[in-house]
Amino acid sequence: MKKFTAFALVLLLVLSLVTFVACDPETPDTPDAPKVVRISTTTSVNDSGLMAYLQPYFEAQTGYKWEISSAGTGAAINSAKYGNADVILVHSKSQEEAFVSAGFGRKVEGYDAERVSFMYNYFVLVGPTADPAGASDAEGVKAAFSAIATGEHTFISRGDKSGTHTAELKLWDASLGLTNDPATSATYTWYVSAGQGMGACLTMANEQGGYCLTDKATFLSYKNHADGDKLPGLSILFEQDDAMKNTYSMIAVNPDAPFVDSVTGEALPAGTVTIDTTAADVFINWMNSETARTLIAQYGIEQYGASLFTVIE
Amino acid sequence: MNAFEKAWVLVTSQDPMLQNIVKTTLEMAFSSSAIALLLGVLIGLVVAYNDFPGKKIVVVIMRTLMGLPPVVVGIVVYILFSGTGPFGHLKLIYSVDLMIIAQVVLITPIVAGMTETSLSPLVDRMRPTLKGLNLSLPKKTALVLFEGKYQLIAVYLFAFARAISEVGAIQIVGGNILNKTRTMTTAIALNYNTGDFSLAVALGIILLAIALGVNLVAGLLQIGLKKRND
Amino acid sequence: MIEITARKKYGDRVVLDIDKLRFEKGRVYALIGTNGSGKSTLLQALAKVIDFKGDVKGLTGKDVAYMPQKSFAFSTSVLANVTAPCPIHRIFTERAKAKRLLKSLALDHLSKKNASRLSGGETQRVALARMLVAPHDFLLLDEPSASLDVESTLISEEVLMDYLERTGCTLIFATHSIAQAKRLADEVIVLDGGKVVERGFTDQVLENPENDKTRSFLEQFNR
Repeated sequence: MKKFTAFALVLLLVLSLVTFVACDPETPDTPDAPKVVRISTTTSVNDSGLMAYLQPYFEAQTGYKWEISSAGTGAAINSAKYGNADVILVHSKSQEEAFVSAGFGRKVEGYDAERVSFMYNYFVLVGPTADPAGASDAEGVKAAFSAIATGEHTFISRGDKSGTHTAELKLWDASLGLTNDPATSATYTWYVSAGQGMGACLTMANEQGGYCLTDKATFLSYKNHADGDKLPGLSILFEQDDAMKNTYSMIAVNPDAPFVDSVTGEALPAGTVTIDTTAADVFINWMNSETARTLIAQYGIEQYGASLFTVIE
Repeated sequence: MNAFEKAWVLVTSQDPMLQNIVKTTLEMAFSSSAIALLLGVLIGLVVAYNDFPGKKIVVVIMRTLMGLPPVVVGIVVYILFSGTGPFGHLKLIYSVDLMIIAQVVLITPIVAGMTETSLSPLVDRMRPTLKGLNLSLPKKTALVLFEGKYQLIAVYLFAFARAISEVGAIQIVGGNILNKTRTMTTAIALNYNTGDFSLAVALGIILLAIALGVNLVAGLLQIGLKKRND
Repeated sequence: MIEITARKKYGDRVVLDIDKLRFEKGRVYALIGTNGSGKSTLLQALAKVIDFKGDVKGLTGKDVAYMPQKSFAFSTSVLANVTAPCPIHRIFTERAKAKRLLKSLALDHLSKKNASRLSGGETQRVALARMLVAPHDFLLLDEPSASLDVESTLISEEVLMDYLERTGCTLIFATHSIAQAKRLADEVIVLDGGKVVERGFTDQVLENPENDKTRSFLEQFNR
């Protein structure tokens, strides 16, 4: 019996060793390995299709490949804090500023600040075409939101601490007590905190005849889908208010940032985390190049009849 | 175009992106289910064959771990293998290898628990004979595995099904990177987010077809073994 | 020579309580006693198949083979079952030996059959062949002919005795058959309630038992 256990243990050990050796990463330092820039971005940026549209141009012009991982804004920024990204591309000013002031941003040569804002669009308020709350007639976006709250009309919130969620929370009257923390936030029967991505929330709003704050790109891609209108019940009710401006920024990750061990929480000695600063520079410079700016400005015209993003001059 | 037509067009068009996704999916699912099978069967067998103090507790722990939530496994593996984690120097984050590791963590307890449960009655019947014959350990192991082959095929099929359909853990540790770590399930989740429902369903149909193929092979194997037995 | 001291309890019930029981090399011992008298448990203790309090002296480096009452037949061919204990590198040379064994046990017509589909009696004889394919120092058999008819029993005994003669192996077997004990054993050990109540030369114990328990057991048997 003891022999059996011992033998099995040894076999287990050998197996896990073999597994580990087999899983040894292909040494990324060899000169033949493709140069890679690791970009962490939010789902909404990735889902708009912009990055997939730019990728072949970028890779052809710079010789770099890009690896985009997308998650909610919180997770996308965390990915960089965990040392898994060379550059982040997000749209949540307050969270970006917190990231930079914590020392995680790096100023790329030739730019004034760590946070490189390069394009914007507007969030839009969408809702049932009949607009029972009368949001489209409101004086401003805040008044439109008040009308929804007063009439207790169904509103679908992302509820996932994303950039869109953060922007939405700023539009409600403070007295409602809505926050991004489900533990302390007030709850209302008409306010649905979905905890899902943009597309899922729009679909939900369409099904339930609710209102929803969305980035225009995702909304249009659902509206003008190749398979037909995915959101037949929804229309844009309010847009182009300054409070609804949605600015996208890139931040290069600082290799000397105060990284902490993700398990123990203790500060890591400098140089423990590998960040490719050259790759980040290449990416940020290219995104600000004339080619990229033209491409971004044109994105969406062919498919939706309007460009989805405006490049910042 | 309905989802079935779309699936057919996707399969026949030899779309390089789809081929890459399928290749990644299969590489991951076959590797993780095979490694989990090796480790899990060994653990399950050791627990089933031996009597030791605390065996009942070990069995309870094993069965509890069968219900490990994929997302939790994903987050823990992500933390451990991040650049700032203890295994960060391996540079495995956002790679297929790490997805395999996460799935092995997820599936090994399932294989171990199922092996223990399904082989225990058999092992109990074999134990006196095996001990009385003074067989070497590899021989004993081989004989038990051979007697339990039908159960083990079923266990493997379950492990494979779990591996190929899992999305929570691999989404987190793999990052769903195009042409690198995007699998059928993470692509399906992405297409749902971008509103391409029919593409998501089409991918789902292809995934089911692959699972069906693996099950057919296993079924034929079982029939073949049964025939040889008679 | 080996010497066993063993105590075993299942719950509150003492199933084995043996103090310094000795077995001499090369002899044949029959264990007799009613159901639950501890015959099987004693064999299991000698084979170290179960855990118990006490120890067995004199077994270091000795090869002990044990056949349980209900042997497991592997779902391979009968021939492969018989050669299962052989080391892999000798399996081909051992195969001829196994075939001869099967023939002497009148089982050669079954050698290609799947062993898991045999009858109880066939399984028991295959299990016996599996025991006898390799040389052992001690052979422990738990009711080796419980499921056999008279003819098969006699054939098995003949093969067994032939094996003992060739190898000089010690045999300890449990049996319910006084006649079998008489035919095979040099000595008889009578068990009751996990204890040895009488031991001695076969004729002496079976013809002139000294112990009351033995006497009542034998009477019961003769009735």
